[in-house]
Amino acid sequence: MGFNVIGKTIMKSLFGKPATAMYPIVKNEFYPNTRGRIENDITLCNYCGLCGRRCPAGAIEVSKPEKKWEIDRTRCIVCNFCVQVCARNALSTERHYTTPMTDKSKRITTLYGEKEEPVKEKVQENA
Amino acid sequence: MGERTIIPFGPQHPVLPEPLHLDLILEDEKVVGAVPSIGFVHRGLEKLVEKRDFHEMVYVIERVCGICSFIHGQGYCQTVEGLMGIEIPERAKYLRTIWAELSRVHSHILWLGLMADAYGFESLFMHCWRVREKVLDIFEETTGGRVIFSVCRVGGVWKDIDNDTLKRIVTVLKDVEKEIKELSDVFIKDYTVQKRTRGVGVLTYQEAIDLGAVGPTLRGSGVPMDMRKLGYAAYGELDFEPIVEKDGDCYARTLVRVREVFQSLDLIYQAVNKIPDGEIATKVRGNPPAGEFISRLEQPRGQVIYYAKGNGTKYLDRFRVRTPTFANIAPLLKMLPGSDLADVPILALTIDPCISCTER
Amino acid sequence: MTGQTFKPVTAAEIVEKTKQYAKDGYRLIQIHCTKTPQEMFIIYTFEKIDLSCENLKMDVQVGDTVPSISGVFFGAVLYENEIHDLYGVNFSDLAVDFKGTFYETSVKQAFAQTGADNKE
Repeated sequence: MGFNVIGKTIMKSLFGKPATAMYPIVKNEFYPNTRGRIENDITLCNYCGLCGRRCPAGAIEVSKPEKKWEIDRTRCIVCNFCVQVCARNALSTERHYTTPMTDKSKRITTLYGEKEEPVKEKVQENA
Repeated sequence: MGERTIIPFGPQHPVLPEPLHLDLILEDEKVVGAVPSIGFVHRGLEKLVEKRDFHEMVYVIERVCGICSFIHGQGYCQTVEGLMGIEIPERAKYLRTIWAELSRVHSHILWLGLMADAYGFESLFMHCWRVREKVLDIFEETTGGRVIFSVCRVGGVWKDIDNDTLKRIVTVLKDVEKEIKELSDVFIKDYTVQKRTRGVGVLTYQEAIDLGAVGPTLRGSGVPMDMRKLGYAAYGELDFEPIVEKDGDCYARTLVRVREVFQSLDLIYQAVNKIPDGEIATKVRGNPPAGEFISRLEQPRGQVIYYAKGNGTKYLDRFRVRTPTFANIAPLLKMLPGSDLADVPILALTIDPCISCTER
Repeated sequence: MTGQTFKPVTAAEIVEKTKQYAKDGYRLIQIHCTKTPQEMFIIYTFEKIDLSCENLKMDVQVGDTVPSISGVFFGAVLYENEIHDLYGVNFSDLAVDFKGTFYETSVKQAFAQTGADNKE
């Protein structure tokens, strides 16, 4: 009986598909749910700064006057909390991970909103 | 009586990736005493509770440990829910149970692999970890993370698993069960393995109780204590008995873990059959009130204790985690004297040490 | 869940109480210290084989000396050394005394400062 088991395992190992993937050639398939990295749809963002205040790792910085949204990719723990607290659904979790970096200066991703928008908003508020 | 030598074991040692340091006092080849020292990876995560509000703290507590991260999150949420008097929906309870049992399956398979590696069965180690990968894939599919799930929240869970996915999980787990059955025969029947583990590091029934052993270390000595019997989450509605082995040696502890893999798989099948439809989270209003709450849960490594003290603000005053390995260090010191130096790595492994857990 | 009551105890009677618990079939499962701006106390938790558990609560101050219960339950050594290193409470008659080298933190008695004044 024991011989059968080991025989089967040997046959599987010899003629079966390997359990590992040839990484650089075959890229890993991620699931739709996979939490890779946080992305911001800057056109929806109103720079309220809630994501920055609720971030357990303190990775997000938001500045309303400058219309700036900034994330430190190496600090971010991709816990998804900012996505869940965002009132305007601007944040989302991308399936793919942050690409590895050799240079620390690349760890910060900064997004700026369009300059025209404040004018529009003001017009609406006045009207 | 021979001359006494002191041999330092760890913090860097091939058998343990964890920084556990033991000063082994030897007489020839026999260990006669051991002094532990930990504190190499003390991070003070408990203290962070004063700076992170109670919703954010879930993600910090999950990172206490990589292997039992889900149960840390669950335990934290359960403690805060107890403090605030929140009753979570039934479906959330079942989902938590399913994820917790999956954690136990992957933790035990990981440990079996490490154990195989410790007595030199390299390919068995590879096979164990290959099987474990299937469980990790289930985690990635359902929660989004392979190791850190971030799926628990105070008041329930963030993500639902739909019923079709649950059925598919069961078919994957049936595969896992078949493969583990083949692999477990080596741990149970192999002559070499039995030579290395039988009668080594015996912890008697009374010693296990008095020294505060927990988890498989305790149940391997014949004490039928399992915190899941308290009936937290959905365990009250599932049918199971604590797994107990009488001998108290390394072999018994291995056997407990092997049998617990099958028990956990069975619990998942039961939970999938019984899971009700409905909400997955309740709305949490207000802050934790002033008060204290203690909860006890069963992790793959054993009993874990959480203590929370609220003060009416959104910051908790104190959150305490007593991890299973912390409780198991004292029994380890009891097991070591009398064993050979060559058995020390295996002995240290049978308590499934997780030092990063221990020091938080 | 059971075991949410905290019975008060003083430093003088802790060893006697522990012996009583040991006689009744309880075992020690944890000791921990809590310090808030208002109060500071140590909680001892005992558990029985039928999973019932009881807590003792002892008020202390930083720098106090408390008798160790490691003579009754050896496992207490680790908890007591931890409290000594992080909170600065001394324990007399420790079975194994690490003398402050259990956790070598850069700030001595790191947990004895409460975070009320350095909140973000």
